[in-house]
Amino acid sequence: MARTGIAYVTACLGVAVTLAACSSTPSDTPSGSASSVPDVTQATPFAPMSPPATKPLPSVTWALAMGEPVSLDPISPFNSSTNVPLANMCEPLLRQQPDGAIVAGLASSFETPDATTYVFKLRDAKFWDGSTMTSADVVASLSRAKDATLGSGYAGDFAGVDSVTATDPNTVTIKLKQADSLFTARMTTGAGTVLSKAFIDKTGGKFGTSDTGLMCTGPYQLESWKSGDSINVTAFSGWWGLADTKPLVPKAKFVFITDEAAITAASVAGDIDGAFGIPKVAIERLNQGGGAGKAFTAPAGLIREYSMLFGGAFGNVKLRQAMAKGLDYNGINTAVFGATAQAARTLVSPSLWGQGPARAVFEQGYNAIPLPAQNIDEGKKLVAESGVSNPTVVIAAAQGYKEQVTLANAARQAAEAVGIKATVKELPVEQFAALYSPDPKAREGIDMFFLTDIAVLPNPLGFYAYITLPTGAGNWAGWNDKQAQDLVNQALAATDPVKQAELTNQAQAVVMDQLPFIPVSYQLATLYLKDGVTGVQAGEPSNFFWPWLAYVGGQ
Amino acid sequence: MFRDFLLPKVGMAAITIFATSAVVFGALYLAPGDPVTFLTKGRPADPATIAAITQQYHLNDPLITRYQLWVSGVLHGDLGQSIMFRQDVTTLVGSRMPTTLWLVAMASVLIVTVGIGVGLFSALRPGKLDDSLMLGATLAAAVPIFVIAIALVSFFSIRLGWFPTFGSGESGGFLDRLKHLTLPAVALAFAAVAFVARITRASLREEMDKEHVRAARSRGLASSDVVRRHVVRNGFAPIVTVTGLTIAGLFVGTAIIEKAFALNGIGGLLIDAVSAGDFPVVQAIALLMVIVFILTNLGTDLLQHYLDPRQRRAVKE
Repeated sequence: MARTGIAYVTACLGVAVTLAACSSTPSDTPSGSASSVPDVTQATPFAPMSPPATKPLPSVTWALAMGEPVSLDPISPFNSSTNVPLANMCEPLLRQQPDGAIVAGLASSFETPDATTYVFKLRDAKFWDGSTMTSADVVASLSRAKDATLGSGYAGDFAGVDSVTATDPNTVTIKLKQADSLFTARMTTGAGTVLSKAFIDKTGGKFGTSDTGLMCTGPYQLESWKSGDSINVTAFSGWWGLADTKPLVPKAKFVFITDEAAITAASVAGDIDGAFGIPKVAIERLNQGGGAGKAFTAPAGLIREYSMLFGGAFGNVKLRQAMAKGLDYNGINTAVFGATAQAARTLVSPSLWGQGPARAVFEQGYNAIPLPAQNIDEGKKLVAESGVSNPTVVIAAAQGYKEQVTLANAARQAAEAVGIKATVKELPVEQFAALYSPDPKAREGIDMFFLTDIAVLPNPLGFYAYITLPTGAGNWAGWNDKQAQDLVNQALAATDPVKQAELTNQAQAVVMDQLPFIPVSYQLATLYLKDGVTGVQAGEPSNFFWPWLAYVGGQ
Repeated sequence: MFRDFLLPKVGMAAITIFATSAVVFGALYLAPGDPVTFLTKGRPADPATIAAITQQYHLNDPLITRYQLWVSGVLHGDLGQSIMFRQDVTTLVGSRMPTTLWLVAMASVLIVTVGIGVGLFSALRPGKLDDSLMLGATLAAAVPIFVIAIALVSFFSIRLGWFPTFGSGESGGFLDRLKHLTLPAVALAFAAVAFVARITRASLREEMDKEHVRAARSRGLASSDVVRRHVVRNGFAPIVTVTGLTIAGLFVGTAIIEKAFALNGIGGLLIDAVSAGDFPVVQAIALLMVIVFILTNLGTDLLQHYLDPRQRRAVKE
């Protein structure tokens, strides 16, 4: 069965290798061990980023720090520029709440008569043009999401889906080939987002471009997308959710600011009302005070990690473990990531634990794993135990990206400290990006590299399936561990969430012992809010699929 | 004048544009990067998907076929489909063009008025002020464009709050645009102003030392007449050429400025398109820049022709 967990996107080019992210690294050799990185077990996941809004605001201007989206099509591969505005316009069948709970969305309820059947009851919702949403719209939308040739980033989520049928105008029945305990989570993302069938038919392959626009059911409707200038949305008076939630902002304008200095200046001057994903320099500048607003951070589904490749010395697990002992985690996080780093015990941030009985189980599994710490002596011992004499490795970095080069050098120092000979090889960005592509040739002669990856499903199993299974999109290195794969497959087939979480914990323990990836830190979601603007509930991933703007307002 | 001068010039320009179009197209074909990787986001894609993408964008056809397809499209006003935005390149570039044109126009006005003005002043009034102006110009020409952008924003936008920190003011009126584009235009023109000022001063000083100017002065002609008729008129040829070339080159500099001020013009689009391997967009913008450069050159030639009677005579003879 192909469970690619494709809703996770290798965000390396977007996060780790943006030009913007590289100009502010203070030194090439992080050193010292100041422990300014908080232990995540002390943090409360999903604490509100800013207090609830109470007053209306005439409008807000929101900056997209990753630039203009290339498309607003809900099936386009996950990208913060697309998903931050889109979350307020197009809605999925189920919703991922800011606290990680999966709740009703456009489906008011669902039943699972057996482990492979999901029956969704649709709520009475209207599209912006006044037409009523029916099961035909859902079927048409899900067929698009399933179709990789349309450029869907969620096609992998449908690999285990047998059929999607409109049983009656208000009921959709989905049959799976075999049980998939992540299926409801998948339906909270672009995979389960519903568009108007009539509009899809009318616009063809151009759905969601600035030429055609959108037709959805969400609290905000797309008023205009001025290519190169802004995306403008207005509150939709026919939104089904108005009974519970009254948007306090009647209109919003999304502008595109990618340059680090420009977004810092716009925040300090108060030319924008808010922005997600502001860079470290902007946070540091805003924290100095005197600006027109404040910086916030919150847990997110982003993991900074070294990806280990198995063709050379790191095919030996002892050497991977030795490498993990050599790294100066505090030094790296303090020097390179500063306020945006959160210490990581595992590859999956606690913000993805979700809610319900499984949450406590995930927490237990997380706490059972020690916080990584540098231990050179133990590293040297592991190298000796490996039985490999004079191990050598090559660490790749994206050329011209200072953060990348710094992190590759930190890894080189770590390797040499424990007795592994290491060299850093800088690759042009194109070649670097190919390291995590399906092409194994691209990885020849490289032993490790650094990247930032993102998870969008509120369940740790999603990420472990993504890096463990042979079909997982995150398993570019071809890691083939029978034990981990069996545990992940059992967890995917488990119908009881507690059982699923226990099996996931076991898989996690194997992963953290075998180290196909070495976690460095979780990347916190960052937010700028101008003084007087408030109501942003949480970080990521919920802000990518949850109508966060409907809660923003004044104080 | 038309047959002897204009026709050959325009003909040459057309040939140059055609030749560069082949270079622009061919260079991108040789460049690294694969649109398929962008479209699939580097994730495993099944062969059917890759085949569909390859066919849609003619990625497997020979270079010459793709070039023919492209040229015939361009001649019909169709620049192809953007791989990144799935939109017509013509609309994509068209919607971003006004911002870049405004920016370049405002910078050009600054270069012509301030650059030539300072040069003129320095040339005619040697002394301490002239020396310090030229020292300032040397320094200004050496400061990188993004440093100027940051300095201008932190002083005029953040400290004084006179100008917005970003945006093109596209949705507002004329004054809004002016307000939004003032700092970007100053940053863009900064080094060029200094350069043009130096050239102007040098060129005029050279004319002032010429014999006929000295003779005119010694015959007691009014100083203003000498300057206007002999110095400025004769010294202007190189100034016009340099100013023209500098303005033509501004289009390339817009990329940095547009990123720094979040203007989303064609310069910024070019950077994004290059990193995404969006060939049709890169080709269109590169071609556009070449055309603008050639047209500006042509304009400079025509102006030169009008200003300098010797050139007209040369053509006639």
